[in-house]
Amino acid sequence: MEAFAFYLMAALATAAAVLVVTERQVFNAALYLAAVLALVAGLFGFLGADFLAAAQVLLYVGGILVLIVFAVMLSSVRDGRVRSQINAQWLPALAVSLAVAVAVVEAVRRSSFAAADVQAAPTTGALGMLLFNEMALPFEAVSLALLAALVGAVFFSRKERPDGAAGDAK
Amino acid sequence: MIGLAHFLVLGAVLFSIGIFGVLTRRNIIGILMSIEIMFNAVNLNLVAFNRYLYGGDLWGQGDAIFVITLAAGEAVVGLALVLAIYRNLKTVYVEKMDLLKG
Repeated sequence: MEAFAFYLMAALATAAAVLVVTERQVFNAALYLAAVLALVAGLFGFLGADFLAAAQVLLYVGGILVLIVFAVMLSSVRDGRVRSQINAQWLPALAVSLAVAVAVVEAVRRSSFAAADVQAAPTTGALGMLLFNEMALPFEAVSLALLAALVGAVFFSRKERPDGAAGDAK
Repeated sequence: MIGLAHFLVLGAVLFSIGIFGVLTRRNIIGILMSIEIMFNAVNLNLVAFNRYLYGGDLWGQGDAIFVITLAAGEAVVGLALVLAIYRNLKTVYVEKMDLLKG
């Protein structure tokens, strides 16, 4: 049962990821990306990371994906329906990605991990303690990065003023 | 019995699918989506290592939270740049963004 659940989620995630990178309609690719993100959240739950599964759904599926769909709709191109979305270098790209996959799988096959089987426990409280004690410095650094991202997004997405003072010149 | 190797192989497969997408997508939003797939593969590996090798600790999951947060920041800035480029060049295809070639 456990193995069946894993293989089902893994197969669906892989198929959806392949569709994300090959689908001609960018909007449909965004919907397949939603499937990938939700399935990864399910795999987090499978691994006992309950808080992370919830954060994945809230942040990725509820946040980043909505942003991507917004960007797709705001920059919709008329001829996207007929033209291929894959450029001419797909064969070398396929070789590179296959080489990476084969190298990592071979490295995993050759290495042995001393598995410590621990019972899964609720992680939210312990994760909060970790974030605000040992990980306090990276936590603050990430807050600064988020502030910079916020300011940067506002800067890049503001409208040009008519007197041309807003920076992004035509 | 599902072990660590299963998750590492799945992470490798998802990561290489993301690499393929980054290298072949013409639409810049498609490239950003492929990058998100790669982030997810990395997060899967982090959490799997955490679960199977260091079951008592949560450092892998804490790292994954930071990766998710920075991915959100990256998506915000990246999509704002995409829309700024679209306003100026009227295209989202990367081969059309050739201003530096003159």
